[in-house]
Amino acid sequence: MSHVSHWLAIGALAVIAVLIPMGMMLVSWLLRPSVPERDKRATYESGEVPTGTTRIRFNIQYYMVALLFVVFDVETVLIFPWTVIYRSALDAGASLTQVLAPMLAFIGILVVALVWAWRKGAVEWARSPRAEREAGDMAGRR
Amino acid sequence: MSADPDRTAGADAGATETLPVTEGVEADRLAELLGDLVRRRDEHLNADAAFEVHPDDVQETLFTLRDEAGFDHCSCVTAQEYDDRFESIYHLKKYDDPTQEVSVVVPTDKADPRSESAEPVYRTADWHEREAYDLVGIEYDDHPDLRRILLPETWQGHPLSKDYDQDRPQVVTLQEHANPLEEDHKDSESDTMFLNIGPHHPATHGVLHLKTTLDGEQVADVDPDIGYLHRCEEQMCQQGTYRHQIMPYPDRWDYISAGLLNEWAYARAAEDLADIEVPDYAQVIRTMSAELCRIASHMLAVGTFALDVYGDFTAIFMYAIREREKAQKVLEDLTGQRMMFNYFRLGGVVWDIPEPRDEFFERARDFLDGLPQATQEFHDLLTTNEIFQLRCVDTGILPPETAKSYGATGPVARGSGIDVDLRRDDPYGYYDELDWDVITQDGCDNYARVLVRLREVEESAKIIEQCLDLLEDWPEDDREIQANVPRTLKPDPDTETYRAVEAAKGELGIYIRSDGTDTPARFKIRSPCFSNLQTLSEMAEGEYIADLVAALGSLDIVLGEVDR
Amino acid sequence: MAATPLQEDVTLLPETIARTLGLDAYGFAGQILAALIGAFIVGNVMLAMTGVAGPWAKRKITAAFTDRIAVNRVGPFGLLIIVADAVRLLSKELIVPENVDRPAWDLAPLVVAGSALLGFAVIPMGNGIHLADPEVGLAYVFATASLASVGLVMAGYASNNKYSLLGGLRAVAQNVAYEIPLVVTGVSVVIFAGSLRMGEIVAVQRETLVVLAGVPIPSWFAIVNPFAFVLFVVANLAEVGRNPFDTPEAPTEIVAGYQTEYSSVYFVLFYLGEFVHIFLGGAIIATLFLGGPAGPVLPGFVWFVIKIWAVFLFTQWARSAMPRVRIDQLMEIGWKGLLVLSFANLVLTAIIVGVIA
Repeated sequence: MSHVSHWLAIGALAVIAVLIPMGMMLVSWLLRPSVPERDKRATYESGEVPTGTTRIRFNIQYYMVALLFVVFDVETVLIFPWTVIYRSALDAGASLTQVLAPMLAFIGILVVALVWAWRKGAVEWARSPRAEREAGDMAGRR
Repeated sequence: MSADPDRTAGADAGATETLPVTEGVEADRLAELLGDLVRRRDEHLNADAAFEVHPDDVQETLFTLRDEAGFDHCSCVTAQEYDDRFESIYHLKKYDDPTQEVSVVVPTDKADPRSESAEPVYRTADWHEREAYDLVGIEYDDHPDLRRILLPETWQGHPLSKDYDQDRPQVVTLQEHANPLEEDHKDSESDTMFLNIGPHHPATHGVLHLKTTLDGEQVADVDPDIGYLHRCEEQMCQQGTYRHQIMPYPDRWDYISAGLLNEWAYARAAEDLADIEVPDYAQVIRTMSAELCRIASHMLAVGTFALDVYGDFTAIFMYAIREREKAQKVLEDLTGQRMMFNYFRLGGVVWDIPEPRDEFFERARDFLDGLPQATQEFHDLLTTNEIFQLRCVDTGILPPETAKSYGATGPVARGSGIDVDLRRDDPYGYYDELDWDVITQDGCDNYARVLVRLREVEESAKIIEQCLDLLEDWPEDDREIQANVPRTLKPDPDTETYRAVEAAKGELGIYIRSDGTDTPARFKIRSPCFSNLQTLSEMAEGEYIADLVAALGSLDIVLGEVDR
Repeated sequence: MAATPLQEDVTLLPETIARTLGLDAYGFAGQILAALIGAFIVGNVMLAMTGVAGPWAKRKITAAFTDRIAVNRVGPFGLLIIVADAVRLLSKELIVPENVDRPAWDLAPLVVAGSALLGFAVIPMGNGIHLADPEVGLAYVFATASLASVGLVMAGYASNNKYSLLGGLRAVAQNVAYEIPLVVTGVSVVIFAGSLRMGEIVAVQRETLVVLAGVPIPSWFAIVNPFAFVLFVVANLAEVGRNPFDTPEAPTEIVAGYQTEYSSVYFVLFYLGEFVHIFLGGAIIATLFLGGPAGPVLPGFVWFVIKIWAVFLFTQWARSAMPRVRIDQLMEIGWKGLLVLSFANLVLTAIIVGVIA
């Protein structure tokens, strides 16, 4: 009996998933007009001429969650294999404590880390001190 | 500047110089309070007193009036040019009692029109004086930011001044139109980002332009830039005759179905000027139709606010539009128009309730009967929604003191706990004969403003209900819809009045000065949205960008009225 | 409950094709051909259902929620509007704004549209429509589903537009915050199933949980663990960026977020990608919690379609009724609410399964 490899099929779908959009691009390329014009190409900023650049230093707000994510995502990867063998290990006669305790300890450490991050305010969207200061200045002036 | 404004002012004013002020005791008390600051006393129809002060004494006068006489509401600043002088008029009122009015008249020299800014006293004077500078050309010393406000920075001349050349071409090339902000915001090391929100943006309710500076997701600075919809409404009104030609314009200020409320503002001012008595029957019709407009307008306000917070055309927006549509149907039956009504006339309304009357009453009552269920629906979907509360409670905070300083009126003021409503405090129409309440909320936040509007709809329904009862029982031979008004109105020269009504967005006032012809010499519109919009930066700075949008939505501005 | 699920010998779609067309004889080349044909079928079926029928259905559903009628002029029930829209959108001029960062700008729509489609490879859709069933099926499907956020960031950053930038940054912050609750809740299902293989997860749910009044109730995980189901549905809403978690697009704040500068076919691809993404989320929910293609009377594939459309309907319902949360509130809901709850769910599930087993 033939056996088509799973990954071969997935690879085939990847090819299709690229080819279909490419096909649409081709059709569109054949259909669409091209009337280049300077104003048309201007970056949209509510109809105003944009000033400044978008390549700025981003606010720390966006990074904090990303850092946390890296930590937690690695942990979830470790949880995967445990969940897979969990039942079969129990069925094979391992005691509950033997299977559960290590993972509870692992998740416990994670929770401690989360509590720490929580108390540090890292799981919250960082308020921008600068924006608040300027708003405060304004209120003070009045 | 060396010329004495008093002397220049005196040249034409010989007749009024020694005129006794009619308002009596209160005016005398104020005059005593101000003492030497008063150069001369003038007469305005609306105000207890009109004091003329020296341009350098503006702040002192206003501080005295605000702190010692309790005039905490600077409702409007009117600027105008006479043959021999410029003049700024500060129309002051009290939030507690808007019938107590005083005008502070500041004449300035023709050659070098300068006077002291009132901005340190009333924050609202900031924009009003900028407008005066922009359109008339008076300069204000100590003003924090005296730029043009309605016209582009590059505009040449001041359109409402007498020497303005209307034929001068104003086309400016793109190069000359250089963006003055460019230098400031090209800094690549900066942490903040300068972002234009509007004029072409889904959340700015028209062509409003917000120059915002963002620090991440938070708003560090916001500066509203208005004037994209400026149509010289004031000047157009100055060119129309009192009797018929001005009335169509008010419909185009707050054009979102609040037309009749605007028309009433002009009607009230002009009737005051020409001393016209409106028959009771017409007053009842006016009251009823105006409240229908208020419902339509508030429904749209709630719907678009929901749109801003929800972010999509959701059920609430469509439900709001549906209720507004019903109100508009009734208005259409009455006036023949859905938005640009042109229904009021000086001295009354243009025609009676359409025949068959019973059918009209029935349709109006059908609408009112369905309204409680509709408002309940809004409470179910909107105000009791937890995410909605999360978004609106304690965001866009506007403390009452700030609101007063910015001259906020209408639902914005009432959402900040200021108990002010001209329908009750300065009665006109038939309101004082009817049974209804002024709604206030103490929340000072976006949520409070929405609640005020929703509950005001219920009050308006109560008013309409009573008006319908009155109209149904009105004796047939007493249905006088218009007073006897002369074909051509020519009010006495140099009569001045400022009259306001409670429009959907707040105090909509009209200042008219007559010059003895059949058109006004100066027609000034005090738009509630103009003053309310000024509070935006107070509410939004330091908050998230989403709250900026919500706060803007809760102000319920209409750019047609802001820019005029 | 049986200790180990019955390992059913499900024939996968490429194998069926290979056998039917006699491609076995051509060795590896035949296998490739069979895989390609299978992939072509799956890809187009899903695309037809999601990208093509989706927008039409969205209009009709939203209209029903908001007392309107929506498209009804072109063809029966306005169905031909799909064709009209496709032609209209594809024949629009492609406007490339100044200073965009090519080729990232061109690749982004491709990534967004393609990645969502990839996820369907491991979804068992019933009636033998199942492209592949690798050992790590669940991990794979989560991986492909979150690949789209890479596309969103590319789009946001490459557009050189401030709204796009904000949208892209928001998209990544949001996906990152909701990815973990989603995955952790997802693996709590694996504790029951004992496998990451999608076919097996579906097979386990076929067993009868209880018999109520003569009707056998299957052990769908939505019934076995409704708590996890609710968590997963909420996290999924955020993951696909629908109301009340549609901050990356937030039309009233940042115009259209990352897709502000896209037009013509690129816009179509974004639009399509979003729909496919919603349906992929629905497919994951159907497979993990609703028994996959299982159901009485009707064929499996029909049940599968019904289930993913039900999830789609739910997202549209939420869209019509719920306000959008603010970005900081979104983060708090994610990190303080869902993350904690999902770990609690995982631990409790493990303990309960351990005690019962």
